[in-house]
Amino acid sequence: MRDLKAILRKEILELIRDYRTLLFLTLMPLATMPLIAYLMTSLQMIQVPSILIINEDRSSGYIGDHYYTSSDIVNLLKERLSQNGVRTYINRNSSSIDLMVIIPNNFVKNLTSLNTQAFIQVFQVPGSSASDKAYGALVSVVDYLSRSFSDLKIEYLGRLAEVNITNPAAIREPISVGLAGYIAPSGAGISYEEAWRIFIAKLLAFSLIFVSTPATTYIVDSILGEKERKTLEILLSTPINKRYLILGKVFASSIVGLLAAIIDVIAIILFFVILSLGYGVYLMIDPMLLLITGVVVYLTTLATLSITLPLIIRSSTIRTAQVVSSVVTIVSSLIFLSVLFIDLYSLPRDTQYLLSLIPYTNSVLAIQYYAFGEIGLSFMHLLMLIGLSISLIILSSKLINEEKLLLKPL
Amino acid sequence: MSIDVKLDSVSKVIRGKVILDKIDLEVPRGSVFCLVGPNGAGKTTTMRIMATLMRPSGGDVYIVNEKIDYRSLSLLQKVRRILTYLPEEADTYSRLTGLEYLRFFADIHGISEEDLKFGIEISGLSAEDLKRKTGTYSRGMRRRLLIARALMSKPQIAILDEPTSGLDVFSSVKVREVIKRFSREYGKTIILSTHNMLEAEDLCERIALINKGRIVFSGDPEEALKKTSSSNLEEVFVKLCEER
Repeated sequence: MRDLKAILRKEILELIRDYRTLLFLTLMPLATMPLIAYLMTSLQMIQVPSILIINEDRSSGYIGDHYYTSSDIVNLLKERLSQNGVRTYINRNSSSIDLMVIIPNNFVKNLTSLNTQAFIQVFQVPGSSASDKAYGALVSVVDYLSRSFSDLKIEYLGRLAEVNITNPAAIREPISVGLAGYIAPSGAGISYEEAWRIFIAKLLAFSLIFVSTPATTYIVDSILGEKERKTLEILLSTPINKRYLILGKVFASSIVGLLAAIIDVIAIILFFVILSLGYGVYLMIDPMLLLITGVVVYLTTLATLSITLPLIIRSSTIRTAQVVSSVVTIVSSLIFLSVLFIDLYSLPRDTQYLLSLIPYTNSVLAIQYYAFGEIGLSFMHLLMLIGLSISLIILSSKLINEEKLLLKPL
Repeated sequence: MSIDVKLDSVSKVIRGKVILDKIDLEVPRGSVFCLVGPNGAGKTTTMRIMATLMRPSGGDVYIVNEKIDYRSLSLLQKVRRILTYLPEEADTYSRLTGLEYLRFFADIHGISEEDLKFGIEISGLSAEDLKRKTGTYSRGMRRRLLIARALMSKPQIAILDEPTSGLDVFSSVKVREVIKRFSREYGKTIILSTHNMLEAEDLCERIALINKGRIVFSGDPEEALKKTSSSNLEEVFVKLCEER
């Protein structure tokens, strides 16, 4: 244990005197997360999508006593699109447009007919978020106009059939769907606040994507950097217990992870505060969820260190070790990114068990199960993280081959 | 006469190349033993095998009469408690102060405050210097600190690979004085390698000449001079190596 204390003390001293690394470690998430939030809100607000409407229609028509021309429809579209924050041009080229809408000939004739459908042709700029926003606004406005005209036709038909129709929606859309509330995967009802917590947990699980890199960079330097700085050979020649040597370096590197965890949590809080200010929404953050996330961040760092350690020990240079450990970082990023698209907790059991062999799956599930109130399952996944890490650290201490470490790379 | 280190027909092959070819060496207890040879002769590999960092491909190594089983971690740990090794290309931890550096290794070796003070004394560095980070030291200061680290635990065997490598004349003289004084006062075994024959003449009671992985001579310097009818070790070495 004396060896372990000596190594820990030395590693920590070297770490806290590495001002540049510490600065980047703390500045990066503190700068990037709030910046992302600012970009998501402010830039979206100043990015006003624009639509060009080309009216080729010269037709007109009646629904009952109501008379419509294509100009009426176009003006209606323009008015509603403006209310949705879209700049609209009619038959006139702008320097830059995000969407082009063509009102074809006989549009109004088809619109006012009881037997035909009217079509609008839309042309979109590919890969443009402004174009997607414009398209979304257009669909919303057209839906509204479509419902309005449907209602007019239904009322007209009702008058013809001498049927009193008080609610055209009952004919137009006999079945409607609406969100009544929230449930957990178990089926138990949950409150609005709990629902928010689950949503935030998803984002927190995704934010683990930032965790792996600082710790792996540090452990690579801590082991192979010693070789390149010519301090490793003396250390290996001492009576130091190799297991304690590895443990000391891993724990010191995990302190980097702990620091990253604290900074990450602060950055995430800033992220949500800026986001909520930008959208004018009050976002609730559960402090216990943040604490659990901090613990998961630390354990995820430890797991990353334990996975990369055997690979680093067998690498001959820092460059090789960094390439090898970047593969691990990519795997972790894939798991954390998948959180946005896949519900890991609802995958078939077999698949879940298989994926649980990857420590990062346990990181995600620990956060998400906590958010669902499944404390036992959350704890189980934390224990799996710890167990996997310890096993790999012990394996690494057995893999140290002093001769291989000392030989110059080919 | 007790033998502290014995290499019995030791060979070493690295990446298919024969680095050491059945070398036999005996290092008597309490002697200053020099392993001399040109660059690439196999000195560092021999030192690393003695320091138990490399396993021989063939032959046996005995340290203080104990045959070294390189698979036994406990035996290796036990042996490393009585020997220290200073590689040729070694450096200090630049972010630690001189004192922190010595204290770190004092903790690993489990030595007393008194021995730490001894290390400070033989480093020859002032109290002010020891408070500074070693990254601010000159090469000579770092080397003296490294030697102090190697000797402060008063090991039974100190293996020093080219201890004065890269040092200027003044620093080299200081280092040699430390080695001589240490050997004289404590009667410990010092094994050092060098390709500087003047240094070998100055320091060593026994020498082994190594060339292309083979021992070409082992014994007293006077014996070597007589055998080859030479006036100095440099001449001895050139004659013996040319023969091969």
